Amino acid sequence: MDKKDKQSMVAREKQEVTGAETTRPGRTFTPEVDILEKENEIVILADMPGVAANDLNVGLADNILTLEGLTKDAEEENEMTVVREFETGKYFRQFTLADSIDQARIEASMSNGVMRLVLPKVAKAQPRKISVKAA
Amino acid sequence: MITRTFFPWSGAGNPLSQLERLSRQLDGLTGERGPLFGWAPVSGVFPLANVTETPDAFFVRAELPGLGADQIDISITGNTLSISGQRAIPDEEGASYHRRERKAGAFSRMITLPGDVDTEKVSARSVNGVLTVTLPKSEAAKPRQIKVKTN
Repeated sequence: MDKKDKQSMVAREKQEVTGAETTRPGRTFTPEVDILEKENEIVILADMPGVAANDLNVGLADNILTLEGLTKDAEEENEMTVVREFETGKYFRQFTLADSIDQARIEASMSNGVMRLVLPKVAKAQPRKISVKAA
Repeated sequence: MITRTFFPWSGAGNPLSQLERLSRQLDGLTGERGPLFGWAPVSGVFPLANVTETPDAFFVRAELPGLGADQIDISITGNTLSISGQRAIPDEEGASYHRRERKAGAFSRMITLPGDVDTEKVSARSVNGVLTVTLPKSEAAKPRQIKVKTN
């Protein structure tokens, strides 16, 4: 086990997204991520507690990767708040990707509120012979 | 390491809890949080917890991403709930990191509930990285409706 796994965890307030307003009501938070690069792929891990697999939206357009996770209110309507230390809401974050990514093979999975996104790199462009047809 | 944290209330007359309650009622009316009530009392001990109650039970919720149900230790002594565990984020092989924001480590927190609970019936479940502990109130702590008689 690493040294970092043994130290005590510190409570941190969630980072709220500021700037452009969203059309849905409610709060939006920035998920904490790890981004790592391997020889053939880029992996993004994001902490999104409360997001179910089918409430996760991942989009890639013009090299901008968008992560969005929706959460449902865990509290029932008849519950009264005694102490509120953290807020819940959706998660949103965007990244610009430098390497060309094979969009068709992107894979995302959710496990205990952690998203794992695997972005395979495009195989090096193969030289292609173009034959000229005689008219 | 054990860190003890007690919520800063002293019975139902605590002005903070009344403000919180008012804030929640206002939220229900307007559908959003007003600027006056935009803060939350933060204990500083991981994990942060939200506590709610119904006439029958208390509910304690905490966000513990990456931890499965078998990786969280929960115990109850009297009306003090203890949540502890360890989150490990192993290094991936052959990878170079661009960003490392997620935190790993050990945690332990104690939460004292404002009323007596039936320790035999406490249950906990973890869904999508959110832990919910349900603590049914003891019979003596449940509110009892009292009929007013007329002559």
